[in-house]
Amino acid sequence: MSVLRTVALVTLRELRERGLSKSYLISWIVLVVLMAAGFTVPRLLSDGDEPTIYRMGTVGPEAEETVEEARAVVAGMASSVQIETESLRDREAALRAVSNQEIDAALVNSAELVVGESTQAGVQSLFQEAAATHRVRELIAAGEASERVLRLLAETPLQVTEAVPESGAEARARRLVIGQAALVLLFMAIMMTGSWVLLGVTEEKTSRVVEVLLSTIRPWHLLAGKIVGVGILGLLQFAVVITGILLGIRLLFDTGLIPEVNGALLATLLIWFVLGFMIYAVGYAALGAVAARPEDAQNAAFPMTLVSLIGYLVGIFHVGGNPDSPISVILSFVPPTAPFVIPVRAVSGAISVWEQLGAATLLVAFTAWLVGVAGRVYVGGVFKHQSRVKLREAFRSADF
Amino acid sequence: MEVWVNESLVVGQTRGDRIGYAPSPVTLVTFDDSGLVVLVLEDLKKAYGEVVALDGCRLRVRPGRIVGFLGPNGAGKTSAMRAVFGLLRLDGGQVLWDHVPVTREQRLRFGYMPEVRGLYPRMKVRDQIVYLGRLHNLDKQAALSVADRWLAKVGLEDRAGARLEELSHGNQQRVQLVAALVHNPELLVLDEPFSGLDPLGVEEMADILRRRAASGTAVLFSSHQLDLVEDLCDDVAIINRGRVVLKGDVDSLKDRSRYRRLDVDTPASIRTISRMKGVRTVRSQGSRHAFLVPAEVDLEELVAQLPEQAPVREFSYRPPTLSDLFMEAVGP
Repeated sequence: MSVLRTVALVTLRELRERGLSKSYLISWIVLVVLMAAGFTVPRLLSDGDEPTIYRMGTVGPEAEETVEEARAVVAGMASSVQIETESLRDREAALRAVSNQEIDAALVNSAELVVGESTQAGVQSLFQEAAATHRVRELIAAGEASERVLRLLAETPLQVTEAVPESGAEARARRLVIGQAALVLLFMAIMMTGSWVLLGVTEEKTSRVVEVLLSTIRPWHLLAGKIVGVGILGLLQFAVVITGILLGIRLLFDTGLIPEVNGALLATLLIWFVLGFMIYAVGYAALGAVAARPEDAQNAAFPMTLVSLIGYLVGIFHVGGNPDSPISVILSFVPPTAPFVIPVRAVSGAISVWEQLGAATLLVAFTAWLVGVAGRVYVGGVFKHQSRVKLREAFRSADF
Repeated sequence: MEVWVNESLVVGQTRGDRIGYAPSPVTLVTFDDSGLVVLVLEDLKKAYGEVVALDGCRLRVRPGRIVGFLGPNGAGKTSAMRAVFGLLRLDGGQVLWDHVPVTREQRLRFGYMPEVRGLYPRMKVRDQIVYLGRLHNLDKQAALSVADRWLAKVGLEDRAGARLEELSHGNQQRVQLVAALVHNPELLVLDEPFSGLDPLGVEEMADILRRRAASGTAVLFSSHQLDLVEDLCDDVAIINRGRVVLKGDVDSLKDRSRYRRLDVDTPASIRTISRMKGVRTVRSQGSRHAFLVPAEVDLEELVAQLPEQAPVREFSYRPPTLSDLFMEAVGP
């Protein structure tokens, strides 16, 4: 039987048994609820959605028509503007009402716009546009202009770029927050998915099914299938969560203010999730095999967890603020900490693609070495049931 | 036609010195299995630090034969069985199948039931069996249909969708056996398959093993229940301190034993028998006595030792039981 088929069978079992397990489904529900809450609660609490209201006075029926035209223009815009109207007797009344701030502005026939001190910035341009459109419409009706003119008016021929100077401190602070948020998500995802491998291995050991399995397939077939299967489930969840969050942020907030939240960030996070998961899954597989009982698994996993915590804490407290420091650079090339350091540096723009590629290559090479060591520890531990097996002993006594 | 012959009998004696028998009594052949697919444990050696588990263990299992693997605790039975599946790295020797070292591919045609049972507790019974069948190279359809057939055979068809942990202990054992059988193995290795079974379960298990053997499977199983082994096995192999010290078919081993078993039931003193040269007392309880008497002792000489006055309610002289052979082989 081909190796590929064996590994695929193990992977499929993981996908089906774990993918349909209650705990996996519950983790999905929790994540979706958290994500939904993350986006809706702040908006429910803030009043940001209240529409802007233009209180307009109108003098004469032509003014009414221009207001209707303005309403049509507003309907095609993203921002929510509502126009309330009040009929005024004459121009005098309009001037009085605007200066008393009873209304924001007033249209006098189709010829004049009365504005005051508190008139909103958008009112003038909106009603200039509406009035122009209205006049063109009249010309079209009289056969003196074509529909094309109307279409031209609806377009915005100039792209508007805001050249607001951004202070360096502001950008740094923003990148720090984004980097830290990304790191928290990444760390949680790697640890959670890694713990599925840890517990899966311990479960197979303590239920003794591993003896039946290994009488048929090689240890590394079993481990590879398990790690790939669990990895797919973890990646699926992480990808959906991360994509959801990034998309949500881009849809809900002004994207010009958070240029770092983009496809590159998404790709960086997904790639480093996979790389980080590889290292920790292989390590946890070995440590799961030396645990005596499922309750013991987390304790057995402590050495690996400690390494990840160091990477995580350094990432949170140091790398964000000092993406170019020697520590940040060195830890980028230490495979177990790289997955937690590099994404933060990537958000800060402090690491080049080449550097990332180099670190990733180093990580893959390290993982290949770790597979050999972990495989021996796994084999040396998985058949010993009395108590927690010492790592050194497991490595030395690996039996096949 | 398959021709069955007896294997050599006692370690230390010349092999092949005995004429065997075949299903047809007219066919007499000398021992030769060169044309047969056999499992051979060849001089297996394994030590765990100071502890020697296997010390030159040799054993043969042929298709269609049930071999009982006996030995005291720690004698090396489990290590030898695990060696068949490559679950331990041998210090020396090798496991042969069909005269060549056994390969991973070949092991897919073996079935194994380890001493400590183990399957996925939360996986459904049928899924579990199908999974193991597929790992043994069955395609999905075949695995499904074989799983259903076996579950029906052991009376678990209505529990196919249950998780293993929801089943009773006995039923879990049945599932474990089915898991070892699902791919119709050429060799079946079972470590203590009868432990923990009630008498009905034992009979069911024994019946399945007999049928497998009858259909050509080579069966090797270990057990401490000697009466059961005696009933079920064609051959036995007794292992002690990592070596097979006695092997062969049960009847020949008995015939060949240097002892005969003498059971006497009489209220009178029979100390004269117990004091005869070479006689070992197996048991002496009230009026019932059991001895192992050297085979060369004349039966008449024994009868002459019986008291003349007191009644003798039982006097039997026959080949030793398997239990006697076992004690003789591994005793001090």
